[in-house]
Amino acid sequence: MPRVMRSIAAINPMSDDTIIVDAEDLEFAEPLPLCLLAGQLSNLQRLGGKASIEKLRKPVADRLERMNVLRDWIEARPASRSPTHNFSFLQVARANCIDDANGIANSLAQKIAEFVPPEFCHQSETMTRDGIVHPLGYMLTELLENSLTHGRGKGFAHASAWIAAQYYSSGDLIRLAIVDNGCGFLKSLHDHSAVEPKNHVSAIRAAFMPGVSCNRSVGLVRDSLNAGLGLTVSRDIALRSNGAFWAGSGDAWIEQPGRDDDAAKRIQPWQGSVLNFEIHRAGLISFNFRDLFSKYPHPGEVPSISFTD
Amino acid sequence: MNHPISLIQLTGLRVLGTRHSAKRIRKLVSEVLDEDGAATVDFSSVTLTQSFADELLGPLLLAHGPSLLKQLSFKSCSEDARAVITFVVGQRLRDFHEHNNLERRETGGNLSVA
Repeated sequence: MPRVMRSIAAINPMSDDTIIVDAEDLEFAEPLPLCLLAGQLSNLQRLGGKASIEKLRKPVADRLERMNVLRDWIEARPASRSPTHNFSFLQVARANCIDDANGIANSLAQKIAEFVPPEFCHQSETMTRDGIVHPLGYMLTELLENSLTHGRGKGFAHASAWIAAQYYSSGDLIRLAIVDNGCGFLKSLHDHSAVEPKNHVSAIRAAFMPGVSCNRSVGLVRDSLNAGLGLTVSRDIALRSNGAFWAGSGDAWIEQPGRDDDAAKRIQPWQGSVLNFEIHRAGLISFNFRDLFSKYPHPGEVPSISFTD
Repeated sequence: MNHPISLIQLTGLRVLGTRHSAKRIRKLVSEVLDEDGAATVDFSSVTLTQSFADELLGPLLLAHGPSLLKQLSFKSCSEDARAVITFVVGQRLRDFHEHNNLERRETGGNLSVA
């Protein structure tokens, strides 16, 4: 993944020249590079620069245009070869404000759940129901909200988030990426005691610790709260589905952040945060929130709550 | 019995979601509590994130403490929704008690009642 990021993050958003993206050989796009490209071209546009995605074959251009995140930059050309692209199960969206988050998350989770891989047709009842929609929708909303609230602090009110999910005609893998051009983890958590030393690697690791938030509050007068669990739960849903997870921000890229065996690398710096997930449908079906929440710092004895039928 | 506040009817969403969207519903719950002294929130056909539950219930629990739970009931919750609500209630009541203990220490045990 860092290799893909290097190419896209190396596009200089301050450039006076028109950036030409040669897409002649593009047949297949995965969520992470698609979100990174859309985010970087958006940065360029915001700063008054110009970009153009050229030599795209028409079927590919048509699909990308329908996704509505790269439309501003695509110059479609007639197809010169038979189309072999495979975008059929790729969904992508841009969220510009927090009002967008619930709608995008629910719609994306529903679309993914509606598709049943052939190997799982005998389980179609469970593969298309709440077992998929709930944990996926949970992750998507928490991730979008995180990008569109924390990412927009510290002078980054312009930030947007790009989210993409891809699933395949066979197997149960779902790839999911969310990229934002906000303040990034280090700026957001800079003053938190869990971020030590003050670098991007520490900040990413801290962001996935339960209870770490840039503005967790227990005051009695605040209108809004934070608990610092959104990223932790999202990561743990992916891992419990037997999936995998990567996070990047600034010059750091970490595989499985927060685990004892996580692996950090240096990358071409990215202003904002980049999250990349692999999730397995079969693992989502058996997912249980009660088991998951029991592993976080326990709140102790809870008085009787009135749950009724 | 008070009329339940149906989340699916209010939002049209299966997965509830952002803190932002919870604030509007919390305001509604708060109004019903003020008017009727009790409120029922109907979770039929929905699930919720910890953020949503925390924003819906957290400020109310921090303001009223455990007594809020005598006025509030949760209808048709899935097992997942119950787990999330139970977790949030436990966390915010712990915060409520910690905050009150801190205030007691700061005031030397003399709490004034407004």
